[in-house]
Amino acid sequence: MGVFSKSPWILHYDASSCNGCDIEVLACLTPLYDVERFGIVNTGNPKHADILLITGAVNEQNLPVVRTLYDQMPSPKAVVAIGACALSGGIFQDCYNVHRGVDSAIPVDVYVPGCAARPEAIIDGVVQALGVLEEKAAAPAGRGEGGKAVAA
Amino acid sequence: MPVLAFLILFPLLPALLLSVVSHQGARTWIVRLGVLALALAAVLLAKDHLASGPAFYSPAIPHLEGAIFAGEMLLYLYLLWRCRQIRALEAWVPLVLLLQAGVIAYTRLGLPPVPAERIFGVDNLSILMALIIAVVGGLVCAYAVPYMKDFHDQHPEIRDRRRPFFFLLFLFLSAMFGIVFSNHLGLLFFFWEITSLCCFLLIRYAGSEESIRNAYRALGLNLLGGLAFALGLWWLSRHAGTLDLDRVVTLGKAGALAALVPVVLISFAGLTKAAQLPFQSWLLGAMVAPTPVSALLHSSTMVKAGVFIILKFSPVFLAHPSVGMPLALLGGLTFLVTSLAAVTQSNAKRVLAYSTVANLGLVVACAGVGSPQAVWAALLLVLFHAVSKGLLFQAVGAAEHGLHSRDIEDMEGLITARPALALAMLVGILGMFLAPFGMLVGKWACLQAFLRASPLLALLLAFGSAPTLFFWAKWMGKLASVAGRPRVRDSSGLDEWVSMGTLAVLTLAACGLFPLVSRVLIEPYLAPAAAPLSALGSGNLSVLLLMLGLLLLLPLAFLFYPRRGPLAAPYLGGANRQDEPGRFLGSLGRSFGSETRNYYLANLFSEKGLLRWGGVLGLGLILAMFLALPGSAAALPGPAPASLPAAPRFSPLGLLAYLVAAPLAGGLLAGADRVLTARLQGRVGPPLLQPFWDVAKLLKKRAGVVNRFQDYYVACFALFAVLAGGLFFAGGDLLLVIFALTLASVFLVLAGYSPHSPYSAVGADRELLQMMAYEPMLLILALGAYQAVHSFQVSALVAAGRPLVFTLPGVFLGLVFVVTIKLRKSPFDLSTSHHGHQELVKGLTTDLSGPSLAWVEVAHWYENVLLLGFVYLFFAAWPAWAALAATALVYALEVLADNACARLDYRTMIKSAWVVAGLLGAVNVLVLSYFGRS
Ligand code: SF4
Repeated sequence: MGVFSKSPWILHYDASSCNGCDIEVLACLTPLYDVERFGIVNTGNPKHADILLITGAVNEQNLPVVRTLYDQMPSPKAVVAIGACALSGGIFQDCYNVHRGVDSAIPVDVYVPGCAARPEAIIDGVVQALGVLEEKAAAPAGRGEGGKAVAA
Repeated sequence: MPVLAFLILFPLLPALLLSVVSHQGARTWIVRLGVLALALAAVLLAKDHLASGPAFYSPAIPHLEGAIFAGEMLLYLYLLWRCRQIRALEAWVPLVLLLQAGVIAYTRLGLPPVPAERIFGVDNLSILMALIIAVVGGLVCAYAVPYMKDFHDQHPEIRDRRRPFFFLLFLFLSAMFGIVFSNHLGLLFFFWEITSLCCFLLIRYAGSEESIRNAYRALGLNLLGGLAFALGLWWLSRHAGTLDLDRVVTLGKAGALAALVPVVLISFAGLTKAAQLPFQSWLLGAMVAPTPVSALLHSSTMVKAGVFIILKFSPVFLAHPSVGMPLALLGGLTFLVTSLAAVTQSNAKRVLAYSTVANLGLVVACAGVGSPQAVWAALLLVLFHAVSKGLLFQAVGAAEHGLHSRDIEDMEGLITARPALALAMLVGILGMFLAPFGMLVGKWACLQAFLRASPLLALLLAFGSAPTLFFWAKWMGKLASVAGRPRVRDSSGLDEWVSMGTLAVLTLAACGLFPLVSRVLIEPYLAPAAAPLSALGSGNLSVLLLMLGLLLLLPLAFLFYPRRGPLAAPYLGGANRQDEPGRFLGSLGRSFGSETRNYYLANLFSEKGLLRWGGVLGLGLILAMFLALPGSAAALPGPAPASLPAAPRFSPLGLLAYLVAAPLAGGLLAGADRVLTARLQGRVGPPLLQPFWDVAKLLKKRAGVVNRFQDYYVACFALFAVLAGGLFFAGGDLLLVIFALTLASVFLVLAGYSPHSPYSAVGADRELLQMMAYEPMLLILALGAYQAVHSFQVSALVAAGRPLVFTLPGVFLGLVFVVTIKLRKSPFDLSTSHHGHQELVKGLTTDLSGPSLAWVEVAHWYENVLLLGFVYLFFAAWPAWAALAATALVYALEVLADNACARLDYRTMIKSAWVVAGLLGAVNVLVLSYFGRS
């Protein structure tokens, strides 16, 4: 295991979720789940983060924000989409302003289903993202990034 | 003698020429040649006299007394005529003038004439002053030629009176040379009054209502000093029968009231001229004049004449502490009060003016103490201040012509808009307050001298240093913030650049070469036994030079540094506009720019209140000086010369151990903090080694800096933090450790300001506020340590027989309090936090990423070990395990507090830290020094 899997720092962004998934993400920090055991820190700052957790379907308003945050994360980095909304738009899928999932804005590495996603599933998603991170770190520079944000 | 006469008389030649020539080219060359001649003459004078030592000259000048008298009366008549524009409230100005003329007339006509024995004198002090006047003053004159052309191009409404203007500049220089070379006080007084006249006329140059009012205030206050001077002359003529400066000093030292009274009176005149409390207002008002005038008044003339005369009397103050101490305290008080006042100002020239008054306060304090070491410090301060302040005023003037503003807020981003000018300004600012630059060396020597004389003075210095740090660093932050402003074409003329460039080089050179200056110029002036330079410690000097070298060489390293990757945008909550760098998308789809403003702490103290109370206290101290006169006639033996501190013993082993072990220990401490925090929250927490994994990962991340300066600042921060700790664990000088730590922190703050992101900038602001809060207590730690073991050497502190915690319980508690701030633990985690709870994203470190962040983290580990080293000092007399356990306990308490407290706001932080420093630290130091001397 490389250093990336020992110290995953997280940026959590709420791209118009119903807050259900957000609460589950935060629950991971509580004494019950205590993800800091694995060195996971919720940094709240893209420039410090390795893994971007996104909840909610991306909408027209926050699409540029999602892209900027993703771009501002230094490589190597991974994206975990959390909850039905983030995966496909969920129950908001048919709204006029909603995109069908995070991967319409930026490349997503791990999909965590659920409505809301359970904390165990979220932690499992992050653990899978660690593998992705290590892979990207091992890849020669400039590759394995999944490219820049994909056009919507 | 011929060179001396040349210096006094020659400036009159360009002065007269310039008063008739108005052709720009001719003017340029007259000034250039005149300045060159003066500088060469001053160097020649120095070369001649440094070898031969002090000398007196008594040329037979026919009708000298009559000529002086006639000159003075003409001067008074002219001034009286000038007073025709006064307002009713300014009626006191001509009144003082008439009184003064009356006293002089009575002295000259009503008393038997006093024979002048030694009319001129040259010693190392006057040589130093002459060099400053010729070089710095001359450069200001050269700068003035293109500046005034621009000035009139930009202000067509102001009448062009450049011919009298340049006449006055050179007359000013001539009078200054007269002051520093006159040994005959009657003659000196004549030159003294000419400087008051020049100053008055230069201030009212613009002719606006404001400038006229301020000019009258300057004239009135200086005449008030002149009145005291005249009374001194009267007393001397009547009681002492001599007007020779050297004789007056000798008599004063012996305790003759005939000389002591005039010494105090003339020092009073010096205080008004040096704009000390409560007379500071005229110098603040003087900034309505064009910038070269300010540069001249502040750096090389006028105010320097005030401290010059007080310095001349320093042997008297040394012999009579009852008179000298109030004077010294007045200087210290001025330093503290005006430094605080400078914090409240955003006008660059006002900040500079307050800083001038503050630094002159230090010089006055040194003169009041009068010990060789204090005088040594004072001379260094005068030299460094002249160079740096001359540079700063010129740079502000040049900036003003480009920006049409002298507000510091408007200087944001100057580093990319006008890099050369910003660099000049930064060099000037560095020279004013940071190790290893000039003024700080002077302050350091002051601190040592004050401690031997009066710890109260040292405490004033400790408290005054914090605001100094604050207002300079926030100014630097504005300059360093890369705000993406377009590059502006430099409109400054050649002479302006030559002048600023020379001064910038001199500022740097003065730091590197000051040991040489000290040996050649200053030490011969002091008592033969004094060895102030060695009191600083030769090891410490090498460390200073090392720091200077690192600061200068590091930028070179970055020139050759491979550029890594593209630049990143600053963090703006993800809402950055892609097409407009630095702006963000706000509500209703509009684009906004981010702006931050500096802190002026208006809600903590006000300029008005400070000056009012400072003025009252200052008046009280002046009164105390006069009241002490009758009692001091019986000459007291000066305090016994304190023994020099033992030569510092550097322990390379300690240094090595720190370099290798500190990151390990620091990382473990950080891990322990996280585990302990988790346990306190009912969690398991990360493994103990987690911080090491974090740093290893950060080092492997791709870097993304916002601008190229960031890495330089981070590298300097890390380097100097390590240096500070290394010095500490090598057993070095505690003060130097604190200075190096401060230097490191300033660089961290700059790293926060430079990306021009609101989150980092607010974090940097708060970090500065934190520094302002803890700095006094850190200095008090050093003062207390000195009181306990009579040495600043860490090696001596460790060797103390009794645990310091029993000798210095107050200082210990105060230190624990500020270590909370320094460790950025709740309730004082304002600037950034190592844990999740920080509303500013990550504050100070928001825009650092990857390897830069890793270095900051490692530097924090080094820093934390150093801080705990401070704590360890207090238990060092115990067996190592017990001392370590005690230190660990303190750390655990800090972590506990971190988890148990909510964050306080910055006002509460500063107030509480200063109150704690005052109540626990300062009281402890004072009690120890007055009662506990073992
Ligand atoms: S997936 Fe369900 S719980 Fe999560 S944000 Fe969407 S609607 Fe809310």
